[in-house]
Amino acid sequence: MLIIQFLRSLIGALNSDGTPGQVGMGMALGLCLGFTPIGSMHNLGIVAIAMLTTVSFPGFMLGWAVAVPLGFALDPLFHRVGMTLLANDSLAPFFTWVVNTPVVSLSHLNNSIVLGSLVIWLVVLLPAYFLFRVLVARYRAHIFARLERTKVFQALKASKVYNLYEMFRP
Amino acid sequence: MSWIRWKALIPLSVLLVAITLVTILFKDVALRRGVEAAGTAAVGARVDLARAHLGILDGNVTLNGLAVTDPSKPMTNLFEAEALVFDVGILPALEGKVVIDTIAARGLRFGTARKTSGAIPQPENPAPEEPSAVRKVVDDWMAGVKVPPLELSTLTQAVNVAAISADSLATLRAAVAARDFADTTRTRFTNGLRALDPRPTVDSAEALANRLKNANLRTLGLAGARQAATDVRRTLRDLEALNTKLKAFEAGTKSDVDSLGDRVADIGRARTADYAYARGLLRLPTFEVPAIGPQLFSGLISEKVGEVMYWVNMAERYVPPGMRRQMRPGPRRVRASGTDVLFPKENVYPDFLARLAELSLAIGGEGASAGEYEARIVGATTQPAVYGSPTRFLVSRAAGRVGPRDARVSGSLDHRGEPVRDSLTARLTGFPLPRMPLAGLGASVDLGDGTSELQLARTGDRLGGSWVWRSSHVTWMRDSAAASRASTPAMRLVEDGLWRALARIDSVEIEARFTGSLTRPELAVRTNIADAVAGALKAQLGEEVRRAEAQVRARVDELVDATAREARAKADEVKAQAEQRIAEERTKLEAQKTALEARLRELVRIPGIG
Repeated sequence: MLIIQFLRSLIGALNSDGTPGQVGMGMALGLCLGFTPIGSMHNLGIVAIAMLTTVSFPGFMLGWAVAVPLGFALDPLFHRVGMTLLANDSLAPFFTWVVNTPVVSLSHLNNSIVLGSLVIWLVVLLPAYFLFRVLVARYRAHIFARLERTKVFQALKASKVYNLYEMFRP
Repeated sequence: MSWIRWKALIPLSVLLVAITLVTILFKDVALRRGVEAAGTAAVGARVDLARAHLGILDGNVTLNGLAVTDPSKPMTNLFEAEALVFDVGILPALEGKVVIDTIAARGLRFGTARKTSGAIPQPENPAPEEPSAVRKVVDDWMAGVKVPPLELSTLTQAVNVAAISADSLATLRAAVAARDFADTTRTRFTNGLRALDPRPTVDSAEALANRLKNANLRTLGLAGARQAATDVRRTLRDLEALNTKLKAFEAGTKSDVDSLGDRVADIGRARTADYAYARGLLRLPTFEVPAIGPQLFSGLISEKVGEVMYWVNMAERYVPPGMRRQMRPGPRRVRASGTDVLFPKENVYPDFLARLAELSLAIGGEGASAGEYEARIVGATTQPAVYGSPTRFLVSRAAGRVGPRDARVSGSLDHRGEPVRDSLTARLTGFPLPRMPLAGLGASVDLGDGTSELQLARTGDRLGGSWVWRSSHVTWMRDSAAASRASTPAMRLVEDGLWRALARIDSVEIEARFTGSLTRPELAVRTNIADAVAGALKAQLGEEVRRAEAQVRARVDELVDATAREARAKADEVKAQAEQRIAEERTKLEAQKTALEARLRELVRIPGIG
């Protein structure tokens, strides 16, 4: 309960301006946590960016939640992409530097899953941002207005579930 | 609008502190699980660790209650350690590498019993670098190298030659193949000769030569003489073209005939193999000393040499040579592990390095191995090319508890580049040697205290070495089941003779030599026991075995003679026929060519023709 309250206050405090662009970027950043293994060092940086910048943090959490099952499903693809890059002779000097440099080597970029998933996330980052931005804008314009008038929504609004939902509303 | 959310600094700091606290709180558990998981993956059997402690500030690691299962004996530990203390480098740790400056060990014990099995489930199709794949290679080798034991039960039985089946004899297959090929050769020769069709050209040349036999300027006229000379030249060219074709055809036929000859020779070789095969079916004993050693001990010794092979192969997998990229399974996680690719580089820390380990080991109890031992390991690393020096080790006995015993094991692993060079020398003196069953003889020899020497040298994919057991105080023991083995008086006579021969031997030396490829070395076993067994068998059974062998050969001959004879006759016939026909055609062709050349010489003497 304490943790939930802490999270609510934390998210409430962070959820400032929720423009579609901010929510979209939050979700696109959140994909990284779901795509790449959660314990990877770069994820600490991604979380810091999500917290310290004015992207939507609830959007970030939503992006993470959406990407977790995707990450599991796409592991074979991540592995193939990672192995292709790690086996590339022209990139060998870069990876040799990564593996033999203090702290940098802890990024574990010489692991096929970590590297493949990170590269794929970087590739989809901008397209995902634009896609999420459009989807959020359309949701607010069309779906949210209708949802608000339904009895189910009114009932939910009175419950605690709405508190959670409120994080995502404009 | 500001892009930075400054008020998030506090929760972010809280998060970082929380992560740090969790890391500190669970680092020992994570280390213990990491050691267990990595050790289990490396050894191919369970590695258990009671406690682990990681001192981050002072850079030391302590492992308590380490038990490493022997992968070939899941209820036995390869070794146990009460405590292992490592001084670990902090800077290399920031690169994710383990560099140990010193190791101290306490309470090391070898070959201790386990309460629970340390076997782990093995994948059906393991990757080549996994321990279970190495174990499979060794098991396959052991299954292939084991020689069936001496079989005494058949010695005194009537030889049942009817057991030899014609279908299983290679000679018959070789003879049928030779006969069929003879038919093919004959058909190919006949068709080829028909296609060559030399008759019209030769007949035409003959007719022309006859027509010009007594011709001259007066009978032909100048124009006729010119035409005749032209006809002769054209026909000679036709004969030459035919000659060329005949030569090519002759070469093709010769190749077929040679091939037929090879197939006929195969019949002889197959018969020799069939004699050995049929002899094997009857399981007649051999009197050859070199063959008896493997029959007696190959089962037991292959298991011991197999263990050596397993660890030599594992050393290659975990200490790969050179600076090439190395791959290993990624860390275990809920989702896929992926593959870690290592990029070795000179003048940096290797992935794992124990610079120096000076260990004082104590083996407790009152057993023969009890005592104080010293071990020194220098430069143990998983990336020798990066480290730049071979790994060297020496284990010796400082003080024994019982009797004058000495133990010394030394060696090196030089995997800096290709070819890989490993060496190992182990000499144990005054230790109890194993009791060796004498396969097939219903007895065993207890070697008592003696000397065991192992020498091993590996260069590239070649392995060579020897393992010698020597004892001068052996005890011979007959199995309790031996009485039932001798079911007939004749067999009992044989066994008694053998037993008397063995019982006279006081000193025994058994030497196993292995040479060849790393995964399939050849095993030879030499022992003075084989001399005694061969002598006794010869004395008891020599004449009987020779008679049985003669019966076996006669039976094989009876089954294959007719077909082999037919195949040979057919091959001879085809060969003779081909050679004769080609010779005939060549003679005719040469005769007409000579006649026409003579006519041409006469014609060109006529003025205005040449």
